[in-house]
Amino acid sequence: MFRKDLSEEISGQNLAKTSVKKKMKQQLLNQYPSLETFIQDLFQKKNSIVVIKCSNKIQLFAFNNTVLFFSIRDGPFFPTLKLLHSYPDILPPIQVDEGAIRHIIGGADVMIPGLISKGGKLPEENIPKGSMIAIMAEDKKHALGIGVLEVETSQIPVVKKGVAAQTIHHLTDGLWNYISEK
Amino acid sequence: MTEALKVEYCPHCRLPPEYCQYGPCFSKCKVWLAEIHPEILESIKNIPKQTKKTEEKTEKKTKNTSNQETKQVENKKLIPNEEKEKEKGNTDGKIIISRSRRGGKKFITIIEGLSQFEVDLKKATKLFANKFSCGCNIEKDSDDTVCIQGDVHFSLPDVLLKEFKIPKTQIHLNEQITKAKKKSKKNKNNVPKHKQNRKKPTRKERLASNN
Repeated sequence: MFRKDLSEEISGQNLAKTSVKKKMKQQLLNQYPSLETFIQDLFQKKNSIVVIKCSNKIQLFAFNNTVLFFSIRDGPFFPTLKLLHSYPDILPPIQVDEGAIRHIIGGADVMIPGLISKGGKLPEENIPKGSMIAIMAEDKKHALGIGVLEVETSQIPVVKKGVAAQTIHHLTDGLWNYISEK
Repeated sequence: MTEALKVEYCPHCRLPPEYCQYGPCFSKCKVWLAEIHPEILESIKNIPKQTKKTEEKTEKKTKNTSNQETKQVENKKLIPNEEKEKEKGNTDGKIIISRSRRGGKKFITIIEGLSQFEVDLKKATKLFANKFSCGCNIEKDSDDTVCIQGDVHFSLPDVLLKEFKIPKTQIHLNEQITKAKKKSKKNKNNVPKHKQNRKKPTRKERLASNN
């Protein structure tokens, strides 16, 4: 998603209207019920909320000059990795093994063999296809990416091959660099 | 709801210190890690040894295969070497051709590294302008890049071969099309600054100055 430098792709930014803010608040509360007080805090009147539009129909949402969420084609709100690092519970985790880290940081999708092998871990509950997940790694505390499942987690040990999840946002990608420069 | 965790980030690569190893500047991060997070460094150190070994193994493998290739065909060995140079992105002895977009479907072809072949750039620009019947000039800030107006990247290698005897193997084509907007942005940033400082006089001020 964010292969290139984001600063080149930004096509415009403007302050969010109140109607947009209301919608956003509702959606965010529905999506992340555990973050309720944090989100209530974000939408106080004094805070400035900026919508940054990029090419490829990507929108970034900045609260007080820090980008916290992004969405693709008006889809659900993805948290940025920094937000995920400070609130790790908001997304269900899947764990990849040591060897996969390098490839995911390079921008590759999460493949099923990396999840089944010794270092990999899947959550016990079933997670349906198409839902957001946090990509964790063996022996590491923090997430290294955010992805969307391509296969149900219960089906993963059965299929054994192919793509498990599409990586949307990962460490050292364009969005990460854009956030950490600020 | 849980409270926000405070996550520390490495000042050099801006990754969480666990991932410094995979960052762009691990040698710098190492120093920092040794001071503040020696335990993480140690945990990392154990792992790369293995990976290094595997890397060495793979290198050996490639060497072996390349040796076999040299026995079979000499040409084959030449090609992978060149590819390696390309990957490194070294400009020594290389000419890089790239394109950038102007407006909708107009292109500019940019050639870098001509002076390494002892080509007189001024003469070259004239020649290119003649050959392709279009505008051509040396870029202002750098003394080694030539811009040709129009998309000529297909016929350029032939011309370079004929006129300057530069072999095609030394020419590297950059297929990515960069946007030419960068320049305009720079200009925008540079020019309006002094204009911005000059505030538009309000009506009252204008009237006052007239009087």
